[in-house]
Amino acid sequence: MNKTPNQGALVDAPDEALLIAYANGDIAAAQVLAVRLAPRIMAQAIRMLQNHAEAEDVTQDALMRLWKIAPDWRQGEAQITTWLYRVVVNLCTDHLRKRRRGVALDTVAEPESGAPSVAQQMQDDTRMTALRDALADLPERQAQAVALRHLEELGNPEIAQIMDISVEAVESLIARGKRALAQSLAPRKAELGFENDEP
Amino acid sequence: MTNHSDDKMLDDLFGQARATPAQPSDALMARIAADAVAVMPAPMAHAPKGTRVGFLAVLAAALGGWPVISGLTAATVAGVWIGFSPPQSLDTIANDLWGGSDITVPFLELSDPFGLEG
Repeated sequence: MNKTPNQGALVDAPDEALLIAYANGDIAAAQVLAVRLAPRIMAQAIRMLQNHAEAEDVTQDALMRLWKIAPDWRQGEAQITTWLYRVVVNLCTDHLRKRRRGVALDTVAEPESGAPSVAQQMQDDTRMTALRDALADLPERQAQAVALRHLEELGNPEIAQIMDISVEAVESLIARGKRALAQSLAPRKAELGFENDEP
Repeated sequence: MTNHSDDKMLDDLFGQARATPAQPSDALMARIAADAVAVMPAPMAHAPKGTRVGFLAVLAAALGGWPVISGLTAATVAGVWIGFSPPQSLDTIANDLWGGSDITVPFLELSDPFGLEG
């Protein structure tokens, strides 16, 4: 798509400036913001949910919340990316909670060109399903802290800001979450092909 | 505390999860576009006469306002955003406007934007 002069100027604008422009009636600003943010949101959601359709729903829902909050956005008080991390991780844990209640889901399992062997792909899928299910079994805050630390690779201070808790509380949630994950996955180690990894 | 074996297992699983590809589909981007138009907080239908008005605002006014455009198919809106061909019925106006995001029009006098009245 050719960029119009207006879009060209918008492409380099900060997220917050784009959101304010959208709130003032500039739909092109929303376009640039969506193209910039949707892939990040989608990536965060799919890492946690391992389900393409659900990740797309979360992405649409998160951006809908952003559009709706635009007129009330308080400049300088929070970064849009931080706000989105919080919204997305909350939406994802909502989806995980529904899964814990037994909602049937299709998994991602999308074939890719240059993919590994079928057996390897099956094991990869099994591993991701196991991780997803184990995350779903965690208490919500533990799952969020673990996901932000180990799937998003954020630092503990940033996670503390996103979750609005102390760094010490983040450390505690992550430690307990990882311990619970390991316990949950322990019976499936052989199935997941990990015992052979031992020296 | 997790042991070394557990740590390695979790590290492997987290690493694989981080590598999961995620690319928003065109259909998703179309839905997002439709949402942004539908809940746009400052409807440009109230812009004063002669104000610079975006393509979507013109289109919305021509079709009966923002609620109507939000009801258009997602593909129509996606065409505006992503650059796909618009539906045939919108070709004329889209071709006129596609080259620039903004145009100046006498907004309240836009009685026949599609040129259907003779």
